[in-house]
Amino acid sequence: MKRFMETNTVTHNLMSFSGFKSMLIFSMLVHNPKTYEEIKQALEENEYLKETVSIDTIRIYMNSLKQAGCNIKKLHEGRTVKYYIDSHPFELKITDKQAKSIIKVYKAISKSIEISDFLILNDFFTKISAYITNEDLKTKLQNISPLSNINAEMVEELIRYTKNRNEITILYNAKNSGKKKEIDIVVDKMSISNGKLHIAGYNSEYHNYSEFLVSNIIRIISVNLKAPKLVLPEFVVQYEYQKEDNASFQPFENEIVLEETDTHVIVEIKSRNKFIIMQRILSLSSRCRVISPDNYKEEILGILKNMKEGYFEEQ
Amino acid sequence: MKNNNSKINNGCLNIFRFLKLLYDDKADYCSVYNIFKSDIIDDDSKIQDEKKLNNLIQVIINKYINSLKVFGIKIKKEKHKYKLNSSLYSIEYTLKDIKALSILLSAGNNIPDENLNKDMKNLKENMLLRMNNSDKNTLNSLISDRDFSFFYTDLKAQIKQCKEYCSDNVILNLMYLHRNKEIRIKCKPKEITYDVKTPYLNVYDINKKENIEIALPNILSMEVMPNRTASKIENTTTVVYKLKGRLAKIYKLKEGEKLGEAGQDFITVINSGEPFDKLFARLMRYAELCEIISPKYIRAEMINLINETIKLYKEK
Repeated sequence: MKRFMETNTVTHNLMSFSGFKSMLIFSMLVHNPKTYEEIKQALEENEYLKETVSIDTIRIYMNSLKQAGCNIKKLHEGRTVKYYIDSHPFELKITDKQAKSIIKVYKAISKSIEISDFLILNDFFTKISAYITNEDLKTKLQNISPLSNINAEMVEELIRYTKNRNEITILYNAKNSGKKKEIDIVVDKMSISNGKLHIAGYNSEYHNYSEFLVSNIIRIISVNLKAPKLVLPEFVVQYEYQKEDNASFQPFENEIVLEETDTHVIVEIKSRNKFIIMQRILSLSSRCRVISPDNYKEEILGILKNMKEGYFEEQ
Repeated sequence: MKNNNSKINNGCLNIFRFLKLLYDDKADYCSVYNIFKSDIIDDDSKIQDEKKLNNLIQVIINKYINSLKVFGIKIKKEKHKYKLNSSLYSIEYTLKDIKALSILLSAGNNIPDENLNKDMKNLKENMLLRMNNSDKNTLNSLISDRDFSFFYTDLKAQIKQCKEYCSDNVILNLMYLHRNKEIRIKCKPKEITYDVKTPYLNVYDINKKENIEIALPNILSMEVMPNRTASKIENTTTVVYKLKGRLAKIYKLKEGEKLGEAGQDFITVINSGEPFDKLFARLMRYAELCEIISPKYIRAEMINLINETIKLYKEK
């Protein structure tokens, strides 16, 4: 080895040439199809080997690689036959425990990361699921992201348009009506709620702020890069929340705490989407009372009464 | 005479057996020695002198190690064990893949769960072993960039304690604060789950036969009861609810949920295992598009919750 360090030449006394050639052929063929001629040429040109080998010898190495656990596949390109290693004994293996831990970490962080992080994690999960043998865990990891089964390129585009608040036209599969329709929207915000990716913005057809499921967007038809950037109306609601035990109140991103005592907080929530505010208020149920504005208070009370009636109508 | 289809090169098999041991972190000297010993014993010219045999095998091992080194694979010997420091091949990762891995590893480091930390550490080592140097450097710099250290720092000791109770399969006498009242329950701790900033202990309330999720800061005391859990099988309450209108068409079933009936304009969902507090909060959000069907006492509780909320507006 000392001599090799000095002269950069190898001899049979120094190393196993067949071991070296095996590694060289292996590394050439891992997911990279090559013909016998190309392998032969690479062995001849290698700075340590500079050795002419016959096709028969290469065949023996290929058999040996198979015996060592490599799955060698053929690829026909016209009359040319190429070979590549599809799988081998040194593949990364993600154990069931590791997969479960990945899922646990993902669940812990999923409420505090950006949409762009969801996007890269989704791609990553798709990639590494190939190294998980347990089919259930593989499926779970592939589907855990709210972005699974959504076109990643489209999500990237939407992120960009949302940053710029562009006006876009989308072809939307409105499952409610069962119809596909074109919708113009000045995109404002992307968010994950109820385990799904949504995009919200000002809908110029209905003149309201709406939220759309990204999974229902068939495609983006056009982008109006010069669209006037609208100042979108924002709803502001104040509510009083009775604090739960000694736990601190955790405001959402779109909320600010105006006042706080040991037992109560007064919170101001802002959103361009009334529906989001309504969902937040209802989820806090009997701990939460809308203070202002009065018309919104009435609206919430109306919804609660409808909910109650719903229970007795069908009894 | 063997044809080329059945001829095998022993040098190839030996180096791959050696590499397999290295990849599995099982390349102790004895195992490596045995690869090459069987090769010599198979040979016609058997060597009787054990010392000579050992010397010869050591020379052969050195030759194969040199092959690895000349090929560019770094290996080192630690406590009679060979360890792989670089790989025969590398998996192609994009910058986005490395960023995703860095997010998971950084966050994993900050979750106070020893088993999880160990799993993530092993995952990291296995992935680093199959990564080229440039990707390794990128990963290490990205890990240090991500800061999830705000996670649960004050509660590490309590989390550890709860974790032990979960794995020991014990029954607890647990006291916690709920709506400013002290509640005592006899329960079986199941697992710890994590929210953005709060860890929760999920327990099975033995008397009420329901799952409860308790924020760790709300736990006032925990006492292990002398008898251990006899069986892992437990009956959790199943809640059936109906979703109507557009929600019925777009609803995505959650973990622990099954689809019951599916009609023209509604679906029924069979939910089990979701802590009731969380379930009520979620179903309230669906407003009039949701109705709990069974069990009757949960349905009554939901109606009560709606009434209580309405009452807030009438009181003031």
